[in-house]
Amino acid sequence: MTRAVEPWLATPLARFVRDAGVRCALVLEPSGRVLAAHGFTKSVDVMSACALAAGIHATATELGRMAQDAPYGALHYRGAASQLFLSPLVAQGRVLVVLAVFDEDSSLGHVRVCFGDMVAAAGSAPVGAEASRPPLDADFERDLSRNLAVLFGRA
Amino acid sequence: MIAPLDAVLDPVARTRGVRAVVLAAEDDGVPVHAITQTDVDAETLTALGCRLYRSARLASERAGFGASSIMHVEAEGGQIVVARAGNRAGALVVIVLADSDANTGALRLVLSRAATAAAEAA
Repeated sequence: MTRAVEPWLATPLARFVRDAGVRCALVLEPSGRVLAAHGFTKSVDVMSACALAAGIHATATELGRMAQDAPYGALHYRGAASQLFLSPLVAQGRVLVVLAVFDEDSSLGHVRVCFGDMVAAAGSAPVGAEASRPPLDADFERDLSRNLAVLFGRA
Repeated sequence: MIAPLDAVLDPVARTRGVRAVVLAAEDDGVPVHAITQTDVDAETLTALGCRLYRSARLASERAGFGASSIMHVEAEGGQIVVARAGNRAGALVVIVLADSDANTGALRLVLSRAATAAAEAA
């Protein structure tokens, strides 16, 4: 089930999950604050995955700036049983991060093509007033907890 | 490595009605090398072609027919043909996008030759 704190992300993410055949996916801010999720049943898993994805994204961004004066784009890791795709998503004037995990039912090429469709859909999605203000460090923990509560039905 | 791969794919690309030919790894669905007309998105063709071929190969294997060597989709507006290069499952495939009036027999023949050459080059 796809759940989104910011409703404009729900349809693009749900389509991406369906079309690409990914097992689970997250949309988060580079700070690690979750905005949408699919395929997770525990909030603690979402929190951990967001923190790790934000760390990988930050590392790749800084390494890219050092190596080529620009952040690196999508990353792909291949494991024995599953693969991970992590990419920045620029939409509505914001840089977000998308994490997707897929297995042999899909492929990197297919995920990349479907992610391109998601970028286009997110870029043209109607954004309501909920679309977000920049997070303040002081609000981070409160916002993270609130977003997890929204995603897992405790808000 | 580009020149040998050009030599593998070029005879297919020169076949009448062919709009794109791609060598790809079936598992990844990502182009290894491609010769395409400008209006063809090689990444999309590869991703979808590999997915189609994989489904066909699995169906064939589970039906007890063995691995499929070639898959052919004919539609109103064109054809997609995918041939496996080599015997290993998940190995290289050659994908062709052609016009609907392209000669099917000629297409399969040049594609089979390209798949054999690609397997030898790999």
